[in-house]
Amino acid sequence: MSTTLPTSIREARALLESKKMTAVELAKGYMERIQASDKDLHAYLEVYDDVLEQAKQADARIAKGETGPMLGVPIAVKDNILVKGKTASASSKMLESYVATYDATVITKLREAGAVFLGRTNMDEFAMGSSTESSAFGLTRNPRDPSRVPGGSSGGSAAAVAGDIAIAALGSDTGGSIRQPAAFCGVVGLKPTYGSVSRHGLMAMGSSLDVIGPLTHSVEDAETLFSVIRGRDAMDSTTIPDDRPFIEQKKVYTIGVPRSFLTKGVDPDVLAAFETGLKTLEKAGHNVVDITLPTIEYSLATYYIIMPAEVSANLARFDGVRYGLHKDGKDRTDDYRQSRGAGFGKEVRRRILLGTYVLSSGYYDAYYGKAMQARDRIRRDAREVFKKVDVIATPTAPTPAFKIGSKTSDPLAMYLEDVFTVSANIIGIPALSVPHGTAMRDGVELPVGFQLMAPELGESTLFSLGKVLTGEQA
Amino acid sequence: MISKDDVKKLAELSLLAVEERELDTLAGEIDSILGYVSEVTKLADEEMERETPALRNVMRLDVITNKPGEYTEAIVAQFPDSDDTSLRVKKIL
Repeated sequence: MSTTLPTSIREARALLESKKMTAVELAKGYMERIQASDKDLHAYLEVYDDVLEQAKQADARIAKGETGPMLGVPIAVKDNILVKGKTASASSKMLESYVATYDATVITKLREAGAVFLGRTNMDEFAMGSSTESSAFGLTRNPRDPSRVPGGSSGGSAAAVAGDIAIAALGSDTGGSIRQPAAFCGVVGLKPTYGSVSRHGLMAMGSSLDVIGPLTHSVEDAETLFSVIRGRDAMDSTTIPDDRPFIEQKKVYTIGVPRSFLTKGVDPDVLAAFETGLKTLEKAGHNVVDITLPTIEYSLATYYIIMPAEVSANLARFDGVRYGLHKDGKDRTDDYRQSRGAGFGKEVRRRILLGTYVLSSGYYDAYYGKAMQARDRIRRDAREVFKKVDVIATPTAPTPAFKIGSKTSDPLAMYLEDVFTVSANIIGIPALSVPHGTAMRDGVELPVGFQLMAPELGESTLFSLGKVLTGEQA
Repeated sequence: MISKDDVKKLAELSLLAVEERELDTLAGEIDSILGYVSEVTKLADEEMERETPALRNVMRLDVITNKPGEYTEAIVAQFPDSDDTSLRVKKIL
């Protein structure tokens, strides 16, 4: 059975539509696979107990003649997205026994579309990390090489897709948390335009940066999942009005490469794979040009001021009073201290302290104020560049997947993993990571990610060029 | 340089219990991160006019969107300590 299971949304839908397979058979097949291989991978924190019930409902809808791009398709959900009645822990001890009281808007949309939720996936605690090693509930292994990390923070979602134990998955991206794990695991990851997907029911990390997006086997699948989850939502006022048009597709695109950005600290194999990707795009008739965008190099420093500042504010709500872990202290204020001290792991505490520092009086102007000015400049310069090119291309991450434990003792080294991904969050634009090429390590061919960034609402550009890179389109 | 005492003060400000033995490591790590992010000063431009981007975080209006009591049971179930539908907390005064 498991050999005949479809691995893409399109294949699954074709089988369901032609009645060659039922949604229950499909869900069962995936549950068996999870049982067989997730003990080693640990992509899932929990497989839901109502998967077959959900699949039955999908079958009933199919029997009535209903159709739709996600009807009956089993997918995985990152553990920071609320599914009503299910635990949502953000891989933190703080929320270990927290049960969601409502569905996130993306879940409501997918439920209406008939998707089947297999379970919730492991992640870096509160989405803070680039390896899924900061989860309070154990690490996840990379399906391509179990001695390596799957990337993060949506590492469980990426590993579930790459390990064929979910057809697709939802992740969230604040500084690269969809794209970098997608690159490490050899799958497709889309960080949509900021505000194009509702974050109602997503646990807030950096509110000026956060966005939910898909991790899939193909660009076409990412496009399908994105089309279902996007749209204006009254519950997230940040969402873009539905009448704002997406950028239209073209026949020939101009791809800009910020050469000077790619000289420092990039693995030679990653760079070689990137060059092959550029050639693939050129062969398909697109133009590749060098661009100068010096300010983009400051994105990472800007990000590591703005993000912790927002983290320190957003995570103030976790105080052990209304929900989550509660620890008794000497008095009421000490209850907060003890609950937060015991509930949050090392990386989360580090970022809260850092955020508190950059926002504190006396340092606010020197750090947060400066970072906001820098963000304006980066955004402005990118806008100028996008007058000349349709997309900016870089590798997704400077290295292929690294060994488990190799970066846990050096937070700054871990942060440098985000060097190419944070710009899209700082600017608010969409970015896509597709697997292209490999890097040989210890006899294993590790996937390498190719990243494309487009202006606001330029998703269709990303899909067109992404398909060229994956071979889905000539 | 961030000192141990600075970290203690930050922990106090953020209502976060941090163990004494962690203070040195945290001071060192925060110091090295601050050293790196200080790069932004090279880009910051005091003269430049600040802009409000079209895509920005917008808070929802603080209005009630649910029916009375719709979530009460589910929310009370999450309380660490409760009395019927009330949240029980330590004495404030």
